[in-house]
Amino acid sequence: MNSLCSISMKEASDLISTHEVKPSELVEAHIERINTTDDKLNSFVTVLSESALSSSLIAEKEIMGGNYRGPLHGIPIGLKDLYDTAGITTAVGSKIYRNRVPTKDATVVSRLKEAGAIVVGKLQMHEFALGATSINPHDGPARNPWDTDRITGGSSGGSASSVSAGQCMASLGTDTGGSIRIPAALCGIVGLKPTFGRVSRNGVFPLSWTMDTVGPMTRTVEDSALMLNAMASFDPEDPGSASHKTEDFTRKLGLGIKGLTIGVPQEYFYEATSTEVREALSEAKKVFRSLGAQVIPISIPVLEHSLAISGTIMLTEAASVHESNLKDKAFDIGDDVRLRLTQGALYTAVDYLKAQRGRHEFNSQIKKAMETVDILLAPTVGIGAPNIDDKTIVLHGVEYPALALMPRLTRPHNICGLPTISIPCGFTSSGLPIGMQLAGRAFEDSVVIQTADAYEKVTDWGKESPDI
Amino acid sequence: MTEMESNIRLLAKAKRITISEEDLKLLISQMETATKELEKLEAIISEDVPLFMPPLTSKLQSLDGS
Repeated sequence: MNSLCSISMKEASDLISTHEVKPSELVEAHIERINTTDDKLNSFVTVLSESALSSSLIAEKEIMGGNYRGPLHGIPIGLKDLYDTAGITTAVGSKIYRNRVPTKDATVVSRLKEAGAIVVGKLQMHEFALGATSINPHDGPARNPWDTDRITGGSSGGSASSVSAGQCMASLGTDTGGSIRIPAALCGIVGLKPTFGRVSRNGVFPLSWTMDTVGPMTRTVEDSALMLNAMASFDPEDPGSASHKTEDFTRKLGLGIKGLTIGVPQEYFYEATSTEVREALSEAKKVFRSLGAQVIPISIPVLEHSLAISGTIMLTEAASVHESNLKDKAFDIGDDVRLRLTQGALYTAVDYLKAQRGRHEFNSQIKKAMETVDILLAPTVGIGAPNIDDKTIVLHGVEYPALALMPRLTRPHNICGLPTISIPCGFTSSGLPIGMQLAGRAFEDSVVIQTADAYEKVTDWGKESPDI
Repeated sequence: MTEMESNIRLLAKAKRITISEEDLKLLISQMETATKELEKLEAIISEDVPLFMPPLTSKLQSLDGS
């Protein structure tokens, strides 16, 4: 692999800003990497070689002319295939939208382009973003770079595999029930779900509008902070956009976490979690303590209702989004997604409102918990990536549907919209990445980044690369 | 035919949704589980929880006191 494909985005931008590397060299290296690996990974549904190379030459002229735009200038990125891109098919992982060509870019895509980022392609995903495997019946499964017989997780599967395998330096995912954090954990990269409302969703195909969140996927925490700097803004075109002040999300990098309090919920997160993942989290707690943080147990009983609340809201809203598809084109939708949408259509209005009222109680308990801690620590996924063909997984003598285990631990943070990051924290005995998630108070994304950065700086888990 | 199966068939017909027999079996099981979970959830919803949800963003912003 070309060494330009294995460095971080920040390292690449430093080389570009000092004229040691040209954007065209960087983009060419990544296009070459896509061409030589994507038959094994299936990360991309569309590769934009010509436009990316053309954009890289424009970036080069700008930089050589003294018009350097900042750390994303000349950086090759990928977009999950539900971000609207002008003139480029945006199929949302479906057969139904195979010919859908938007006329303008999503707000966040425009912002990244303005910052100088270069889009190298559109990325594989679970159909309609309604599933956590990225096993797509229309495009084939996205494959995990650490073991191509295994799933990437989802729904932003291609966004994770492409960054993990060095096909692009950063990508965009979306997270409604864990769709950024799950594949980030299973593919050994960093996935950041910002506070709900931080980043515009205008031009991003919806799934469940009271929980849908846009975020970056990168190889390092610093890279995620740099991406968020370019992405975050108030947007009147998104009814969920928060008019919160913008800030520099890199400002707390390197500050350490001495004096911060990290809470470890005692309920919910460890029942359906493997011994290996539990041990990885125990080791992580030791690291946080060694860095000067106080790590304390915390009780949040309402967590046991996470699946009832998030499942009812997500499926009902998704059924609303896809009502006409379900009525008129049901059998053009993959079996698993059709089943979930149908379940959503069968909930009553009373069920939906009950879940929203439960959400109020849930948020009250989380708010109370966050008055005593700065960060909540939990595993991201309870196991390493399952095989693509796995139907069930046995954990501690209990048989679980393999796919149901994927979003179990990530959904709580979508109910309350807190900023949450998944970072690598170990490997299973099979050599598969393990991830942990750190959640902070609303709009304290920078504290989440600070904590993840402190851990990353003293551990090596994120420095490993898959041999693909 | 169980009550759940009957309800699903009626709802699907009313909503003009076609459900295959294979999907129906899975849906019966999933909706039975979901109904039980929602019943448990109901038990923790206190009487003072508002019946009307304010806009989500203002609720979230109140989490950090702003």
